[in-house]
Amino acid sequence: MDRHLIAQGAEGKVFLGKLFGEDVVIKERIARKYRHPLLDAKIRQKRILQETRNMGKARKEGVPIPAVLFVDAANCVIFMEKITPGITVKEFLLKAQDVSKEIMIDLAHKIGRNIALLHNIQCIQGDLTTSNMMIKPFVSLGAELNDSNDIIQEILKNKDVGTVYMIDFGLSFISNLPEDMAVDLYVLERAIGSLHPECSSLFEDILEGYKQNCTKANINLTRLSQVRLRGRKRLAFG
Amino acid sequence: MLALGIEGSANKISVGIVDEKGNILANPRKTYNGPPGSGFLPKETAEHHRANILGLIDEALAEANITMDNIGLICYTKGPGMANPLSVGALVARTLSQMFEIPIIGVNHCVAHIEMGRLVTGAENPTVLYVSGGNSQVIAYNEGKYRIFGETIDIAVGNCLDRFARILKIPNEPAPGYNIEQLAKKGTNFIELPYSVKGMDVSFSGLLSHIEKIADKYPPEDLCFSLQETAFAMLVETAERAMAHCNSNEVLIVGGVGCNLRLQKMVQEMLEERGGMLHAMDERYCIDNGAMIAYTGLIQFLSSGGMKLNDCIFTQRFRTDEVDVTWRNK
Ligand SMILES: Nc1ncnc2c1ncn2[C@@H]1O[C@H](COP(=O)(O)OP(=O)(O)OP(=O)(O)O)[C@@H](O)[C@H]1O
Ligand SMILES: [Mg+2]
Repeated sequence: MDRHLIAQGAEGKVFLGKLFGEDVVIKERIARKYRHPLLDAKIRQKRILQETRNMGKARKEGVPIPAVLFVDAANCVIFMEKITPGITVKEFLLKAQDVSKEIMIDLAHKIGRNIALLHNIQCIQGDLTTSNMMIKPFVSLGAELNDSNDIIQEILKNKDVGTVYMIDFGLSFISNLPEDMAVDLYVLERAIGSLHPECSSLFEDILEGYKQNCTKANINLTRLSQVRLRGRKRLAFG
Repeated sequence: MLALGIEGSANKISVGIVDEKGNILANPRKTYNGPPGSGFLPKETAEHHRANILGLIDEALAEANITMDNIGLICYTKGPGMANPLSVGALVARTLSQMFEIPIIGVNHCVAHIEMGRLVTGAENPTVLYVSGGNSQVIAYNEGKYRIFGETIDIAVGNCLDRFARILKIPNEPAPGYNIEQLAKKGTNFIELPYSVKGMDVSFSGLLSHIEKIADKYPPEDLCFSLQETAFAMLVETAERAMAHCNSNEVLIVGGVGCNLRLQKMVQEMLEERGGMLHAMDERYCIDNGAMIAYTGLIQFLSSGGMKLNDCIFTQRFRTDEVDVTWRNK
């Protein structure tokens, strides 16, 4: 089958390919030589199940998530809808220049809303980073978007970022514990602080969107401040 | 210019002498181990350091064939670490600085591990896997700081290994982690243990409490083997996640657990599949030592100057990302 590699993540290779003539994204979890074969098999099987199950579940709730088209569980391969035109939030934040406050807040609120909707159905994403969110802009009539720079320009032209998709549910799981939801947010806070230190208010704005949409926002955010404190205390020894 | 560095943040006390190119003229070290079945306690460790530090300074000067008059900078570990042991190094450093009128600078221990690693291996801009008795972090340089991308959300991997060694009453000499590594080589059966990765963060406390509970049901060799396989797979996975996130292609392993050859091999295998490169060190530099403090203090001093004596405190908590990395230019 005709396909080419677009990303090599932590455990998967992600390809662009065709299924029934349509462009699709193919995510394959390859066996990793470095881990013990029993552990490796267990991890891959567990994650592909979690990923497909939770993607479907969350998509039904209205969270923008690529549709899963076909699953080959034995070989740990998922075929899914391609987000196109699309760019990861990471690439957008690293490459876009002079992003207006308006766009940043729109982006943040949409991310916050997505996480809230996930948490409302007790779905913990488990790996919230800016690599695992994608922007699909509203495309003006006749515009041709050939590469990520074109996509960035298209986003900046509008007052609205477009649709923000959540991808990569390999570490997702179901839990109703405030602790798990708080850690989910904490992982994102740290990912933003380390890769995008200049976007200082992004996380605060995300929490704003989260608060407006999450039914248990108060409890989870109180817990988040405890998780943060623990994080600071922990680093005691050399 | 020559710098003298004192490290004593945990159970090792060491004095290193380096020049600004990073040539190591001397780096003697002494290790305190508690009795079998117990760890090292702050008070006893500090006593050990007090008893040995002056001798180590003489030894280092003699080995480098110099006197204090040749030293242009005194460096010491400001933190993070255990308070009592840290206080010994800070006190001796301040005294030397005043007695011989030499500038002084306090150094972040974690940053020193990274800089020593870059120096010894020649790694330019690696993703750093920092694994020791007190720390498990995945670090990368970004915008003037060493930023922590992932870390343990409870105990450090070295702490997990050490505590399990105590349960099995494995000797503390030469190091509990080393003895686990040797036993693990003879293990053949993989026992399933809790595997906990949260994004780029890891958790070891569930793993430790589970393996404690089953410790008397399996041979020690298989337990050590499975513990290493599981804990290290978690570390390698988060390191790889951070690499994918930062588009980086080299890994530097630092910290005491970084001496573990099984861990090095696993990282190597992960990198082969990505076409990346591993930078690892042997125990001379992986394990806490004075030269890393001297070298880091020196490059820091040359780029942004020394510290006022009043600021030469020590602190148990001192995050890697608090330090302004003024000596790197991108
Ligand atoms: N549906 C999609 N449409 C377009 N691009 C995608 C899609 N899914 C993934 N990608 C691209 O591939 C990259 C990696 O995908 P993903 O995050 O799912 O894999 P991964 O990080 O390897 O997964 P894991 O963290 O589970 O190992 C994304 O950052 C994105 O650039
Ligand atoms: Mg991903």
